[in-house]
Amino acid sequence: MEFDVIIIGGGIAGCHVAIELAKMGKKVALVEKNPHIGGLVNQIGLVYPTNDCASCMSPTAFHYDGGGFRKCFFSMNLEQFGNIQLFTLADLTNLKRENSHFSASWVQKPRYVSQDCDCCGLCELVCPYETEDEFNCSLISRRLIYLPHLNAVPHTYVVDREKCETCEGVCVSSCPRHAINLSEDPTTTEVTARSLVIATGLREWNPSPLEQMAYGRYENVITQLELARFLDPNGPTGGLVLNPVNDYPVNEVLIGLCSGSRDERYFDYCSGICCTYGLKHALYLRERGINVTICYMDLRLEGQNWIYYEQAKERDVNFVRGQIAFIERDPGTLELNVQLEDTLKAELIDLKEDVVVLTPALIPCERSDWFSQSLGLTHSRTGFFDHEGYSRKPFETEVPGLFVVGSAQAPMGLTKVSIQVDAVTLGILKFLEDS
Amino acid sequence: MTSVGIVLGSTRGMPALDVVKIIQVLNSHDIPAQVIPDLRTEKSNQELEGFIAKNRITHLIIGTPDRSEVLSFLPQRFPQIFLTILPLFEQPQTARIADSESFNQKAIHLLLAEHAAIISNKKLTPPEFLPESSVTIIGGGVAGIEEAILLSEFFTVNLIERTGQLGGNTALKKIAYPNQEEIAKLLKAKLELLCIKDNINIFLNANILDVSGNPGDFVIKFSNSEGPHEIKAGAIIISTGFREGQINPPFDDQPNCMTNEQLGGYLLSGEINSLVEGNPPKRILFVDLVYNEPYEIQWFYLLHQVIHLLKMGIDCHILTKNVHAPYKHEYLYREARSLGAQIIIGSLLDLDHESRGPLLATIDIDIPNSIIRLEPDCIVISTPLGPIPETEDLLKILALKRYESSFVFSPYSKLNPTWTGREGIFVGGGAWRPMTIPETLSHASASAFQVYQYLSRKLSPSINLMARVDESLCIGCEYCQRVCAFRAIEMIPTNNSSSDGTEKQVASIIKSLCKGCGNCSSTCPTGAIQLQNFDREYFFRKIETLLGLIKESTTEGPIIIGLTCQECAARSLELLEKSGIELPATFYNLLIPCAGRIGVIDLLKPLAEGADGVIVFKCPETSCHYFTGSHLGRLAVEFTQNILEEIGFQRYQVQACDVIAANSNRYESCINKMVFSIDQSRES
Repeated sequence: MEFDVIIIGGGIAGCHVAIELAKMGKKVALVEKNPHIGGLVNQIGLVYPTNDCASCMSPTAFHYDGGGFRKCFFSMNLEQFGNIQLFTLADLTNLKRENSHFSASWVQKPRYVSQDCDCCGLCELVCPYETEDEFNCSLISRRLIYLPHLNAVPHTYVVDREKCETCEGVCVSSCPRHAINLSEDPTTTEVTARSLVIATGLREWNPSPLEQMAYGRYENVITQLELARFLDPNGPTGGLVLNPVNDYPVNEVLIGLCSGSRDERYFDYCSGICCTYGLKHALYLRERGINVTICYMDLRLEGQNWIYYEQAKERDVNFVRGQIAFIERDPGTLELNVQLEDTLKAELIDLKEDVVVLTPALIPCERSDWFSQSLGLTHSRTGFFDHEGYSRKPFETEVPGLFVVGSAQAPMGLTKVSIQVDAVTLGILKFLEDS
Repeated sequence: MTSVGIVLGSTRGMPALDVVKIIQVLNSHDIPAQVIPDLRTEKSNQELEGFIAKNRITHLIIGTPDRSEVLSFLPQRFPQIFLTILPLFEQPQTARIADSESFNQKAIHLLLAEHAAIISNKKLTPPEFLPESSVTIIGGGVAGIEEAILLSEFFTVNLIERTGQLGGNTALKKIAYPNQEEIAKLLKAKLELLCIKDNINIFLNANILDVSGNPGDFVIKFSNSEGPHEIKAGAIIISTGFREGQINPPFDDQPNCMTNEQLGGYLLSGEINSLVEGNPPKRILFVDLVYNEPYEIQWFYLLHQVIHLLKMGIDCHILTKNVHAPYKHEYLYREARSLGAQIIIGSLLDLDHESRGPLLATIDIDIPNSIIRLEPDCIVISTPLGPIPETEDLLKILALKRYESSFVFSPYSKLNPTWTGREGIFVGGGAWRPMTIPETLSHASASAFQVYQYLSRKLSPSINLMARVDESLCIGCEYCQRVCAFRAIEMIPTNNSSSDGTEKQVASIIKSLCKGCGNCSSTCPTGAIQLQNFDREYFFRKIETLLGLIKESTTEGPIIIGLTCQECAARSLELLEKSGIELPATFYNLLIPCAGRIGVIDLLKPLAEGADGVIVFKCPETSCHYFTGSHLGRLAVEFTQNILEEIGFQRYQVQACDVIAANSNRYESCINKMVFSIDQSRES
């Protein structure tokens, strides 16, 4: 198959570029490893700087067409664009550049559920097995036939086939529309295109190597992403923050910033955006009447975002400049005894907390090494695809026709992603014209 | 030649009259359209083939409720056709009494707009605007140059620069520190490109006097050494950039106090070696006065300077409240620390200068009763970054808003950070916020793309919703003009003077700008402005039929009418449907264009017809798609609440509720709250 552009990664950056290019009449292949598109923003829920829904998309061309259009990510179903072809559950096997063309091939795992599915949910009720729900950071469990989340695009159920060997297919017979077929086979797709976009985004580091933080040892030490799932009004708890140990409402929360980042033993760079969303989460916790202490090294809020600090101060968030020394759980009350080193006053502070939220370093996706090997793309010492110097724009790479957009390039908030999406689209259009 | 055709697949669930109407409207716009039900059968396929051949269609838009039905075979059957499939007529179940009329209006509009978007965007050179279309870029810094180069591929570009030199801050060697060689190379390459393009006109030493005209057709008056000029512009980009602030008391009268930029100058010229009585300084104190508005670029330069000075053997102390070194700047910070830079967390209490001796700085550090005294030879101050002073006048001329920090305001800072809130005017580069050079180039490209997209669009005939004025009722009060966020209303004088002899003016709609939100119609004191297809009569008729039908039904419970904004709030309702949450059986929903369309009388009408409660579901005020609508909606609700008791109703019977798509539970809880309070008052 031949396309104009291949986009790897169906997060907000990848989808946004795909839509802009499709509007310009380019044929786009969008490749995503998960069963649904949307990436991290789906899990985050509400985002800075506007504190609204992350799924809003830029209105651009439609904005001027007389009104009446919602610019919602999920309403603008990517399926409705004839010239975007969406490949979910795709596992890239080959990626190279030859004769100024990119060729890629991937194995697409079957969904086992056809587009006839109308999401009635009967199959989910009869499925006898449960497993951890990755979308909700394993906070709850899900069945093996499941809708990844409420808003998932494509809006179809999917079967986690690897884990459901022993069942005799009760879901198949339960489906009133006969949409389930458990004997589907994986398909291999090979495509070529003149331009390739890497939009693989970032992920949260698992902070369990930090022994003093006790992540993984105690259930009530969680990460920012897990907290975001609690805070999401459509999440598993409906927006309530519950103690993962005993499901009681939480009264005291400690947010520890810089877990693993700015630390020579793990990641020596600053993740850049976590202070902002850490403070944003602190404000949401205060809205729910929860006492919050923030333990920070430096607050890296760019420009206007400093307002989050001022608002947090106004709403009595307690700030301690320092680091977490150790966390220990009281076996009786299950409270966490936390000791902080206050580096300003050079003293130790003891606190009792219900939940401790760590802010792990943000790191590139698992396969970024593979991308750089197969495409000859260099990454900087942070592991992200950014470069030193001024000779190129941030999204341009040394390989002609290859662009990096969004958080694959450096951790960034949605504002910067929006800037890059517009800039990259023009870059690609120009590249396709010139070549 | 692209030719677009529209086919309506299965039309079940649509009244037959509507189908005829849709086809008529489409044909009147010269779009071939046909109904071909049940696309699966061989007969329909032949019909479709005939339709495609007859109209020579290269792009087919299919509106159908069964997306999968069409997707399964059409692409294989017609491989040469470019297909767009719209999931039409999927009506939310909550609109229990079919709101089919407005829904179909929307469907037509969707089809038309899609059609227009495809036709206009398929070609890379904009077809209609190109001959006279031009872009004016204000500011010839690195952002302005980048925009000019990118846009000169498509349009004529006029580049207006205030000073006599292109390159802005970047061309001044001082701020290009520390990589001035690479930057000089970059700038040289860009300027060379700029020179070989013959559709870029550069005006130096120019001063903007006035900007008039409508979006897409601005007229810009400016003067330079050759005298006054007047140019036309389809779009304007502001890229006036930023600059470093002045030194304020108590530092301004001190010797050896300077800004980061001035220090950069001394470092580059080598004057630093003879700064203190012919000798290099021994100790420099950097004072950060702008910790509460930290910008990456400022710390980037500061840390580079500190590293440079430490390598020269000069002691460096940095006094700040917060070290802002995000992402890779952490490496610089680390390097500065390892070379011996002292970071002091605190604030400056006092600065003394004894005659000819060194400075004496008294510093309050954050530990109680702790004070440090330092004797630096030199103080370097980080002053606030701001836009260049002339930007303020420019923004007044263009009637644009500013942030508190006086940079150019962008209402969609999350999604579209290059838009200024006024159609056809964009911001690029440091005029929006201070940025490093790579980021500036990104932002400039983004604004160039927005301009490209804006100018290459063809205005679609907006048949959906549009305001219209009944001139006989208009009293010229200008209220509508004030609430219109899109400046789509202008006041024009009429020939008929009013009874007392004074000249009368009436409102007039600029059709290309009207977005159909209806904010003007709810503000109009005489009802002269109405929203076509959603006017007062239509709304009243709708309410009357709705409540008439409800009264016939047998469901018991308080009747609640939801007026749901079709943007975020309607999305939230759809989400509720998906999650399977049951709303009370006596809740009925009506979609409205925007909460701002709803005036006091529209809120009272359902109550007068027998409803027990009215809830306006609107987007949060900060993310209203029409900017003022949500606010106006709240004002109308608050005003109605205040008068309800006087006319025999209860205050709680009219409510407003902010919902966003990600928070659908709020929708439900708001309805339940109202049901609860109505039930309670009935019991008592």
